Amino acid sequence: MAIIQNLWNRILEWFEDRQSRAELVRGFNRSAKEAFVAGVVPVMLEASIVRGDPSYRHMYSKMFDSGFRIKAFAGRQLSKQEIKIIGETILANDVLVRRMVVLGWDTLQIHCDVGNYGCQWRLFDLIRIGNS
Amino acid sequence: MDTIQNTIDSLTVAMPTTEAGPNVWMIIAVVEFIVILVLLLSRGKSDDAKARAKREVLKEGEIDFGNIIASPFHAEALYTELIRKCHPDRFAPDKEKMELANNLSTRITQSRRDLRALQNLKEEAKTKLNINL
Repeated sequence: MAIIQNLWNRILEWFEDRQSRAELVRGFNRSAKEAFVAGVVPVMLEASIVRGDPSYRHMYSKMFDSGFRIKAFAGRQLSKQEIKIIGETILANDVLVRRMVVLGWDTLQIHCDVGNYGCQWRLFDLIRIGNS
Repeated sequence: MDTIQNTIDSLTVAMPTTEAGPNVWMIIAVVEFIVILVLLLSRGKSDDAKARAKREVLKEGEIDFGNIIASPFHAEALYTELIRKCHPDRFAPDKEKMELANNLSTRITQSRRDLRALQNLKEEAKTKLNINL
């Protein structure tokens, strides 16, 4: 009976994770869209789930979709400094980074719609679990 | 009639009936199933600790995405203004204000990428240090 209970908990956990991940991405995209439409920000940001960097794996990493990619629709190539500032702002939010890590993301990628370069960070280096 | 019989005979020769007994592929499938089940059910102490840490993190409250999205584009300008106007040296004669400015400067630097926190610090600086921003 305990075995079945354990298995059932694992299945439920898997579905909860999927839902939490989708909610986080949806919440980010909704806020980004609202901020862009209201003229608060000059660049539209869009988050998506992609394949992460295998060398950044940690104990919570999802097997395939462990990358959190933010695409900036600026209509021009953003400078490395601008991309870096967007990334650092996200990484400065401890709550968000911790949540991303426990939901299975290990890589944060930022790039824009034009150009051929972007930046990526290893998320696990930046968390402090149990110390908010 | 003979042609039909010959065809049936040749088919029987070409496709011999399977022998009764343990099928290798069935055994492999059963073993695979057992391995998957064991992997699914195996849950050590580290897994429990992981799950506990995860539950704690997920309980941490709402994330202010609006602030996160606005900060990269507006926080830097506000930070530059605040750090310049709240510099302790500007309040050198008044030791109390200098102490306050020192404290504020530290918090401003810590909140460099957080627009909401910088806005709160701006209000605090206005009231406590009595400066125009």
